[in-house]
This record gives sequence, structure tokens and C-alpha cells, in this order.
Amino acid sequence: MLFDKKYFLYLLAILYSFSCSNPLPLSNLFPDGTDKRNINSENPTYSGLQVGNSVPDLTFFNTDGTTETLSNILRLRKGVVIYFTMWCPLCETHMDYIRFNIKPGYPDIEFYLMDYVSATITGAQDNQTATGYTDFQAALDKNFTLTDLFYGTMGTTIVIDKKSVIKMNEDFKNGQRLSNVLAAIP
Amino acid sequence: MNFSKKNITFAMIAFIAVMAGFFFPLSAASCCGGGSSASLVLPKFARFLYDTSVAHELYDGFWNSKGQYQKDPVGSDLRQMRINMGAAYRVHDNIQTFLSIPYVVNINQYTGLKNTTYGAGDITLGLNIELFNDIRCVYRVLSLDDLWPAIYLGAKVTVPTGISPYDNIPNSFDITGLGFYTFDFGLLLDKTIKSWNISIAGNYSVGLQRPVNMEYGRYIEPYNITPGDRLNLTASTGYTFTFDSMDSLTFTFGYGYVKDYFSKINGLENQISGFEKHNLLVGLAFATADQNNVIKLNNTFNLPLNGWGINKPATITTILEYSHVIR
Repeated sequence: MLFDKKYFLYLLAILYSFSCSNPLPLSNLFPDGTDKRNINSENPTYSGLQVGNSVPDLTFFNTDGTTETLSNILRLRKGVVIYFTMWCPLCETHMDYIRFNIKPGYPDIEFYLMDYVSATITGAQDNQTATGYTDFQAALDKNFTLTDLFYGTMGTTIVIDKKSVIKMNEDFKNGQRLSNVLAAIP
Repeated sequence: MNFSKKNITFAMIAFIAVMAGFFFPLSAASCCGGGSSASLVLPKFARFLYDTSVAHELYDGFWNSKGQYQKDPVGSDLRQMRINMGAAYRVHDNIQTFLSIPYVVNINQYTGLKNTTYGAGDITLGLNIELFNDIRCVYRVLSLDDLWPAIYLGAKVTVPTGISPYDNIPNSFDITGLGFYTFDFGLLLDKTIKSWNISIAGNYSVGLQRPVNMEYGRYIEPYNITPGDRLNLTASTGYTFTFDSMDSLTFTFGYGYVKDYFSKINGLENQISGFEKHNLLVGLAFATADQNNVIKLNNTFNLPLNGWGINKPATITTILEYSHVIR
């Protein structure tokens, strides 16, 4: 025989060893499109606060050195958008889209860029300045409070309405959902 | 042809090492099919090849949507390591198949956050059809036929065995795969005349639409997503020094262009997706006299200049690779 079966066995064994230490995510091999948002028994591990949940009062550590509370913002605004940024190319694409296509249409909504990767407010401010998003309100997520609360990561976009209820908590994608959610806020 | 005892022993050691937690990637060298050192392409007439490689990718700034080069956040250090194991096997005089199994280690360090994760990457299976019947490396050109290159038509499927944003994971640092089935179709032209080699390759990738009901461990309103098609073009040239022992050392210089077109969400183009990037490559390959053992060191990098990319990180990728051919 031209090919020794042993080599195939080695490869299979290696695949098996991978799957033992880190189970292969079958969700990608057989993707599921079922809406499971309200199936409590299938709640995933990293859900955080969901759409419909109320948000406790939060403190924002702004890059300009000031602090602001969620309740105070919502006294003056119809809602808040929080975008989790690590100042990456994808983040910049999203932030540009918000800047030019969404923010101008919603003057009564506060738009926050939430830096969850910098160690200090000065560092967050440096990143905000270097990337040129000084026309946004930006804040540092001290101690990962918001990251843990919402399970935020790169591109996570949160919308909170005037009653402190979450209207959106998901990836930004193409911005369409954010537009739709904001349009529905009274 | 049977494997020698020595080869079997080597494979056993590799297997044991992998099981012990080390990682051996597999790839191939095509020396004297056409003469280049493209990975996972068997040399003409060779039966089997296995290849292991370790790639280290350092992120070094990025281009924004306007093509302006920008530095990474202050104090950040972002890297990815990939260990690949691959094999190529000839199933017909002119048809070879291959399999590549990657393992990914993500190392991300910002001033306020450190994260290291690892996991299986996306497995790739494919085949290459050789549109030539004899070795196309020539020492001198005596006829027009001597100028005819080795031509390969290739197709491969990438299986989403890695961890994607659509899995039950807490954040983007855990991603080791794309999450899509993708199909690639490629053409490779390869010609060696005496000590000089030139390779031109083109590849077009199409991904399958998939449903999504979860993002980073959070169930969301379901939608369908289709990844953007990808175009990949590369051209390289190399020069080989042959020692008295007939061992050889090849220097390669190349250029690559990659473009991702718009992805689609629920059938509509996502106008803020896609990217573009220009790459440069320098490489060094040592081959034993019988060309059955090849060690390669390749470095792919970008020039940190405006216009050399759009929407994409600039990276410096160093790959150390060992290939063994069994004829």
C-alpha cells in the first residue's frame, strides 16, 4: 500500500487530543438560528444584563477627568448609547459610522465610548486623542464594572432608555439594529 | 512505497510530542514540481509530505477606513501564535490532497488588561490538480517548452472548528476561528530556471451563509450572515545557492495583496465591513540534497504607510516551518 494508515491514525489521534483539551465548538459546524433569548433553561454562561433588564445606577469615569452618573445623564437625555472600544480598526469603523450616520440624528441621546483596555484615565484620554474621537464623550471602565455587568467586548453596543431599561445589548455589526432601536425610543 | 523505519520513528516522536502538549504543524515544499517552496504542495512524483510550522504574528498598528496608518493604543502588545500541522498526499499522478490542522494562541496585553487564550483553529482540507506531467524545473532553456511553468489548480474547504464570535465565549480575545465554512479556488504558476524561481498565485474565497443566534455567549435576535469574499494575490521570486554537498539555500522576496469584500447581514451588504492590505515577504529555505527535508523561515510584513491597507491591522508574521517529503 502506498500510504501507511498509521499516519491517518496519528492525525485522528491529534484531532482527538485537541477536542479533549478544548472541545470543538459544534455550534459553528452546525449553526443554529433558533431564537433562544427567552429560554431560561438555555441561558448561556456569559449573558450579563439582557434586553429588558433594569440597569443599576452607574458611574462613568470620563476621560476629561470628571465623573458622571447614569441617573444624572438620564435626567437630561432620552437615553444612553455605550459602545465598548479597544481603539482597533473595526472599532474605528463602527465609531465613524456612529459619528456620521447615527449621532447627528439623535441630539437627545448621549453617546459614550467605553475604553475597557486602558489602565488609567490618562491612558484612555491619550487613546481617544490619538484616534481623533474627541467629539465623543469617552470614559474608562474602571475595574471592568461595565464589562462584567454587560459582558461587553469589542464592538458591544448597549442602549439604555430613560427608565434605565436595556433596549439593546449586542455586537454593533452594520449599525442597523442600533438605528432601529434608537428610532423606537420615545 | 513504504515508509522507512526512520520516518515512522519521526512521526511517532511528533505524535508523542503533540500529545504531551507541544504542537507540530505540517506543511510541504514543492521543490522541483515547479521549484518554489509553497506550503502543502507536494513535489512532482512525491507521495506524501508532512509539515509542521510555528507562526508568530505581532500586531503593529493598523489602517483605518480611510487607509490612514495609526499606531496601536499606548502600551498595547498584541500577538497571536499559530501552530500548524499539515500533510499532503498524492492520490493520482496529477492530483494531490492536503489537510491542515492549526492550533491558535492569542496573547493580548494592554495597559489595563492582559489576556492569553488558546484553542483549535479552523481545519482546512483541499486538493491540487497538476496541469503538467513532468518536472518543470530546467537548468537551461533550449526550447519554448522549457519555459512552460508548473500550473496547479487548487480547491480547499475550511471547516469552522475554531472558536468564533458566535460561540459561548466571554470576549473577542478568545476567537481562534472565523465561524464559517469557506471554499477557496486557486491557481498557482511556478517556474524555476537554473537558480531562479518565480511564482504567481491567485486565490478566491467564498464563504457560506450561516444563521447566528449568539454573540460572545449572549443569545441575540437571530440573523443570517455571509462573510465577504476574499481575493488573495501573491507574486514572489527566489534565488537558490547550491552547496558542494548539493544542499541548497533559497532566498525569496515577494509581494501579496489581499482584499475582503463586503459581508452580508440578512442578505444586505454590510457597507462598513471588508478590508484591504498589501504585504511584503522575505524568506529563507534550506533543503537537503535530496530535497526531502526543508526548513523555512519566512517573514511577512507591512509598510506602516498610509494607503497600504484599509480597515486592517498591520502585522509582522514570522513562520518557522519544517517539511518532510516521502517519495
